[in-house]
Amino acid sequence: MTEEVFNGPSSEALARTKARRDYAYVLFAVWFQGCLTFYAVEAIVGSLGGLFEGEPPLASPLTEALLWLKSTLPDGFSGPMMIVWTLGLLWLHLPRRRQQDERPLPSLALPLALHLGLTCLLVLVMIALGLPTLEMIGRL
Amino acid sequence: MVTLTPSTRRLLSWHAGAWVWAHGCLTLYLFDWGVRYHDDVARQCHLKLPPFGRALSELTPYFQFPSTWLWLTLLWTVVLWRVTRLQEGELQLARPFALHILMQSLLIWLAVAISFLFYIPTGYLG
Repeated sequence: MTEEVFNGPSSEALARTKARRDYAYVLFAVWFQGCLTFYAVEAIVGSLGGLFEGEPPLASPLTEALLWLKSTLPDGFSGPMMIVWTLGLLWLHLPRRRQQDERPLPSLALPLALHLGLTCLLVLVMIALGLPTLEMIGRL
Repeated sequence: MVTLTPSTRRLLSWHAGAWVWAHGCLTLYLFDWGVRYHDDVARQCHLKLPPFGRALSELTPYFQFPSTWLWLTLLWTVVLWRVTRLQEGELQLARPFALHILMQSLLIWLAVAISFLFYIPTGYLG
């Protein structure tokens, strides 16, 4: 500590600070992606309901699962989900901030897993919308 | 637990960096196509678009393929190169990863806007 006062932070300490800042950028990006994905899921589920209004669903179990979701979840469900998402990320991240400065450098594994999970969610929803839509276009 | 040699780590980091770059270029290509496709459908069917779709339509005049895509790809390459740090020959992937996630937001925007085209009752499939 005394050494740091006289010589400034060591190169290792600087590297740690930079790594933590980079980790914060990644967390912000994941948070943003999560909020946008929840909004997108709500919009797409809504569009599915509009598409099949008055008609039986044409296609896959995925589509049926989404229609079930639409009938179960209230309108505007993405708002509360965004709040839960934000609080969840804070909960995962904050305990590390309270530890000593000697804590290990954060790993990118968790943000990567969250990012992949969100991407899979979006892809599933898009497939659920895309399959019946293609079938309808084929019938027209 | 597998321990990687420094040269393997370097190679893998450059490999991952190259995928991030390629993913960005493809995303921009898809976005460029999507903006024009979205606008075509909206015009042909005289759709009243939601805010997401309107914002996308307002971008259409600026998207002239391939020049816009090429410029955006160049910009993406420069930004990615500037933000990526190199440490002993190994790319530090946190910042490129953050950029990659933000870039994916463009795809989500596109997906939402295009899904609305099918939603509007008087729309594409109506």
